[in-house]
Amino acid sequence: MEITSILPEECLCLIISLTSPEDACRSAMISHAFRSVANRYEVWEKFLPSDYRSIISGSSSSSLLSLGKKDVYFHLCFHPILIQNGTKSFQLEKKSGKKCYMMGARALSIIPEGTPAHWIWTSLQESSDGEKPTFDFKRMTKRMALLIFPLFTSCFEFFNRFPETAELKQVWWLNMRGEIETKILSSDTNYAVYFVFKLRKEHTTGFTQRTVGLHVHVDKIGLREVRMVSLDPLRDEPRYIRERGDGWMEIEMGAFFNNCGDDGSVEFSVWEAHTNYVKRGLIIEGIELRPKDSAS
Amino acid sequence: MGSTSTKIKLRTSDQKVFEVEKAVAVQSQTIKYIYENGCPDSVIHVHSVSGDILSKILDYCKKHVNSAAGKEDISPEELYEWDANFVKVDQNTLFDLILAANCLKIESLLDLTCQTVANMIKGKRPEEIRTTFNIKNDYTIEAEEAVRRENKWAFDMLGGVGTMVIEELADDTMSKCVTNAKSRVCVIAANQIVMMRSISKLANKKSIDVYKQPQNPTTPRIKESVKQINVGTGFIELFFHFKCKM
Repeated sequence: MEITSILPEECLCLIISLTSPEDACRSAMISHAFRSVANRYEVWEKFLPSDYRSIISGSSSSSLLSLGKKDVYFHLCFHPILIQNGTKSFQLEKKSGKKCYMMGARALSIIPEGTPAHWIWTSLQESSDGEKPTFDFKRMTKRMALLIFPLFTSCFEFFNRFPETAELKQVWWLNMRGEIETKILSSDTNYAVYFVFKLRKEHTTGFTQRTVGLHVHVDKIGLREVRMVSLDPLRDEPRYIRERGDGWMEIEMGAFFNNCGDDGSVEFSVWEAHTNYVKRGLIIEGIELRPKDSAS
Repeated sequence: MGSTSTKIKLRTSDQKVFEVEKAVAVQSQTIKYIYENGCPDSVIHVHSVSGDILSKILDYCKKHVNSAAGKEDISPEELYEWDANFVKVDQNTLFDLILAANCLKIESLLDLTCQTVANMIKGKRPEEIRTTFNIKNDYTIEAEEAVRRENKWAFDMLGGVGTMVIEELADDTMSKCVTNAKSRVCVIAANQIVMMRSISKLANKKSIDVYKQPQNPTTPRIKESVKQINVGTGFIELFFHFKCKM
């Protein structure tokens, strides 16, 4: 007699739901009985955030609610969904099920705005539900791939989840800010704020050997963090910028522990006000808040 | 006075009778329901629970009732420790406690005991969990691989910066495109041709661990070390040296 024959499935479900999404998936490999438990909706309902239904129904992907709970969980982990009229995106961090939000460029306040000479809004061909372009390579020969390779790199360069990004044409000072209420984040979690951007390969100026200020301010817990970093560091400079794997770069702006309850907010800004040199070539996807990577 | 010292009689599956304070007994939603809907003086049968287990459960309930009512001077940390010691029992007793807490509907005890079992599962590989609970692996090799693929992301913890996981190498032409976000590598070919989006990251590495899914499902997953990196026109050839993974 072993555990799966002694305990009823409802108890096994409770046990697995008290582990983690990662452990639940691994437990499917133990035996057939465990696999059946690991796929139960009660388990994944517990891993999903308690307000997931209202978040999904207010998004552009409300049909997700018709999927099984495990499928909803993984869809949210790997495909950010657009909320609030396509200005923000929502997804889950796969290991813990904690909420991640990205404020798109449209959700940020970018000063000076509305002046096409300074910032332009560009939209890219990728579909707005964040699907990655997929290619069928099976039938291609090596020769063909060599010819088409440069095209592929440009397609792989950009995966844009929002319908629009903001591109900096020419400014003397940068001032982008945004704010988010802490109550929509997962509580009792270490969050980090990331600035997600790209620099154009050509015609970019004002970012090499210069720093911009990244600010994160959480009034409720008295956090006010400022980091001065270069968005385009030279080879021998310390490199805080990371590639995200979706064609964009990111840099951590600050981190905080969210135990702010219902009435806190996080304010963040990217700021650079030296007016004696011009800046151009910065493309912004947005600012992301997600649980801090344990690796970084 | 009446209500504070009301006692309830409980009879277990092995015919032992326990007399307990009402406040302690009604920690169990089941007993509470039976008591409120039946004769207050009659003995309540708890068929599925043995005397030993009920005795332990009543200890738990008494401790928690007393601490909540302030009758016992115990801090939350001390109560937490008491709970931790309470569940230091052998597996069979733990399962009996779970069954009893489930049947008697004592939520906090059910959570405590189930969390104890959950902690024995967290972070462990399936083989280790089978050993802990003496579970037989009833998967065939093919079925096991199918389930592993179904849940493959949970095994990607093997990866780190500079590690690639190559899946589904079907044949010797260009096959599936796999991206491992941590290493920023896109693999599009089976035969050791890799297209890099982030060449600079690779150039700093002396060796890269690559886990390859074997075509033959009976061989274990094999680990390959990159021996040589040629950076060409965006293509890098990785020469693999096959090693058997334990």
